[in-house]
Amino acid sequence: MSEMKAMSQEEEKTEFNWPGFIVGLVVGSGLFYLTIKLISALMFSRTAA
Amino acid sequence: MGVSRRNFLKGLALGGTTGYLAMAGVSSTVMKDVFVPKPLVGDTDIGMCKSIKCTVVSETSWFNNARVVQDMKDAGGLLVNQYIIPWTNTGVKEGYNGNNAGGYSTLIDIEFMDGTKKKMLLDCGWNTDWMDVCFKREGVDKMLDNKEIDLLFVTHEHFDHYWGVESVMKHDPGIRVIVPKGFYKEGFDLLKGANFPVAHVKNDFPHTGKLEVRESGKVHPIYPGVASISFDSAIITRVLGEQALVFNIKDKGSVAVTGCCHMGIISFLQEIKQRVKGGDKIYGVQGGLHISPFEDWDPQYDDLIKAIPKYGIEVMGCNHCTGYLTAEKMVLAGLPVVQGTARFKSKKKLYLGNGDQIKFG
Amino acid sequence: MISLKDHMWLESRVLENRMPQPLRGIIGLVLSLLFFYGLWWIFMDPRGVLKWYTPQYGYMYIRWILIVVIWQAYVFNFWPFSLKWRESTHPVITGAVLILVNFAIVGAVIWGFFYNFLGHYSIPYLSVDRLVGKGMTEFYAREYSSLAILMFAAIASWLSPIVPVCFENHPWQSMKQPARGITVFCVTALLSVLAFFCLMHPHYHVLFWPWQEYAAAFPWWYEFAHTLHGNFNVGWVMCGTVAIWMLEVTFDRYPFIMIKNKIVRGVVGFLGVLAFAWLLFFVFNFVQELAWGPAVDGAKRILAPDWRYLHSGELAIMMLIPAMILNFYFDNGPKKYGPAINIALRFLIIIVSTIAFHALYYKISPPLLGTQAAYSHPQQFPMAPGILFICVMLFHNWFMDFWPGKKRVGNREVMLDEDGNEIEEGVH
Repeated sequence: MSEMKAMSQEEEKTEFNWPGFIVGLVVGSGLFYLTIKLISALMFSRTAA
Repeated sequence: MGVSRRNFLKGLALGGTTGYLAMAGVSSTVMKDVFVPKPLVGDTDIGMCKSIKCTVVSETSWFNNARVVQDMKDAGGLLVNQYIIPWTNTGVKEGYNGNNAGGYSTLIDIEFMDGTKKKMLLDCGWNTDWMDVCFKREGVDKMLDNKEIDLLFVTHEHFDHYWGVESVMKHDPGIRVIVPKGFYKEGFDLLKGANFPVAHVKNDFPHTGKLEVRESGKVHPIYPGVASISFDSAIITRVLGEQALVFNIKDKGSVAVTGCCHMGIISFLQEIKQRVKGGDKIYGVQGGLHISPFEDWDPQYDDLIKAIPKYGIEVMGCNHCTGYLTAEKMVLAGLPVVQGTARFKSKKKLYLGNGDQIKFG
Repeated sequence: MISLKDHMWLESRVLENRMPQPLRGIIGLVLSLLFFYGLWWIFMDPRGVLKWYTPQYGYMYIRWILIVVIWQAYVFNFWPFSLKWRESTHPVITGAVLILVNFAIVGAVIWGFFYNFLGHYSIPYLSVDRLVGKGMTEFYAREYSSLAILMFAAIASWLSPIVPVCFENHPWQSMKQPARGITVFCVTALLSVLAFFCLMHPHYHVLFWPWQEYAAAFPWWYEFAHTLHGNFNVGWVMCGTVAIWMLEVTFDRYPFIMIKNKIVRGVVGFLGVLAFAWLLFFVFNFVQELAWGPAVDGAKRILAPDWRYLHSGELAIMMLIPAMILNFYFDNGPKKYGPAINIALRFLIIIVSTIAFHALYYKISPPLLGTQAAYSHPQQFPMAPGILFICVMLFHNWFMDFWPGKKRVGNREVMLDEDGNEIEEGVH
């Protein structure tokens, strides 16, 4: 909330990196899959109330 | 760090966040069925019995709704331990000799396939003066003296279902008792003989028979065609756990018999379907369904009334904490609610009352 | 043109840690927890003094505290208090005064406006004594009216921050206080009231018997939500509140901040927040199905469709709390990478913390807070303590500049042009 200053000078030289993004999509999806596996392992119960 | 490696990592971070959120969206919608556990199909064979007859010994747990709510509020609200609430036991016009406390208890006569019979008592009420009168009216006192009642099945530790235990123990202290997992120390102490003067509850006749504590997550057999299922529900006034009965009646289907059904009748019916072999054929329901006991309402109860017809229940013997408003709406919705006779201080004929009987099978 | 201070004084603050991290964060968090617990014990705990957690009655006060805090700091920029007073007065005093003003406004709104004005002359279900007068038990009269009153605040606390966060107060960014505050308040109040009537009022059609067929629409969400209960909307509106605040505290207003035109940014931001809210809503419903199986039509407690929707909102609050703790007390996580990586790492920390917080909450809430045990009892209502704690963190930040852990060393003396962009910079 108090920090709105965005790009540094170095960042202004950067470009959008497609390979990184696509690898990221796969990694991110995998991480969500792991999240739901973790939640199922920790929380699954047929008798929870 | 080189610019290209930094760019790659930046792309990775953007893609990672986007991928996480996208996978979240996809798996929680279009791919949901891949991940969500499938419901079980009931595979526990509980056997079969010929018929049961339920006699409503008492379904009037108390006589003045506003008074019991005020007692809880004055003590500090619905989370206060029931054993330290000074329940009003004098000066209540509608009460039994001025005492607001009544109690819930049902006598169940079971006929087995070979023609033999057994009796069991579901819950033992609250006010022992009132329960003594009710037991005498239905002959339960003599049945207990003669050891004709095989089992006291306590659905949950609530004051109106359990605190009349002295009225049972003074006739048959050796009776077999089953309670659900979740009973607190005070509950066990009361069974063994204890006094809680603030709450006006005591038992001077220690239990000497067999005590079983039944946990959730499975079907517990009792007799051929008779079993119980427990639930871990937290309930007001510091009570935990409730159990209910399921009967498999030949050529008819399952009958669910409850005390208060705090877990919800649909949850109980679902458990029967998913755990009991042949449990998807529901024939009847008897007992308290805890929907509008204080004549309050919630759209969730309308959801229930709209959903319950699809369970195909042929006989609805609901009473006690079901609530008159619920029964009224069920009748309007065309559900087969069995009417009562409004005797012995039961207020309306809308459902089964004190002294009424219902047979399944 | 307007100064940054006159636009959003909070954004102009320059705050420095007075002690190293993580000590600053830990001390600040502990102080907030202690103050939260004091308030909880006095006002809410069923074993405490006033015992307002029933839960809706106490939750009503808590939700109104939250929206009034947003009005005080974000919408009215501390008006009628002068910024000079805010800057020159000791944080403990500004905290005490602004908190007392908050409580006074909350009391006036609930008792004056809702109970004794609107409830008497407009809609009876907003007034406890009107419902009791119709024969309702006082306990339920209070719960039913509390739910309605708090939902006005809940909807407002989702919609109100959108103006400063997504629109940066456009098109009213150059107006001085109180004109801007009154304008933003009126616009968001109008939208909140309309949203209330569409999302919550139909719940009151089916709440009373006979059904209030002429006075309220039938719950239009029944066919696809499988419940008549207003909890369907309560759930996603809660997710909306969390979405807008996570946009602010976690995502640093990305990606919408990349849109230059403030009005377009505002509209796209609003739709983006709505989409994120719905994503959270679907995901939290899904997570419950993973744990407990699908909801069952007509069931109660943990299998009830309406409770699942409500619980999705509760789970969202359990995500917002770690997000706010990370931002407020631990400088929002790693800073040494660029925004994309920092935000991604922050998000990862928040996910893990949410799971841990969930486990911790259900273990400690009965003994510590006096709630019912397990998940689904009506008096196990984590949004009440959750949002009260959020309010306390906001008091600590917005009213006290995180004293004593942080010190406000000054404010950025910057002017904003007509488009709201900063013109020059310097610390006074």
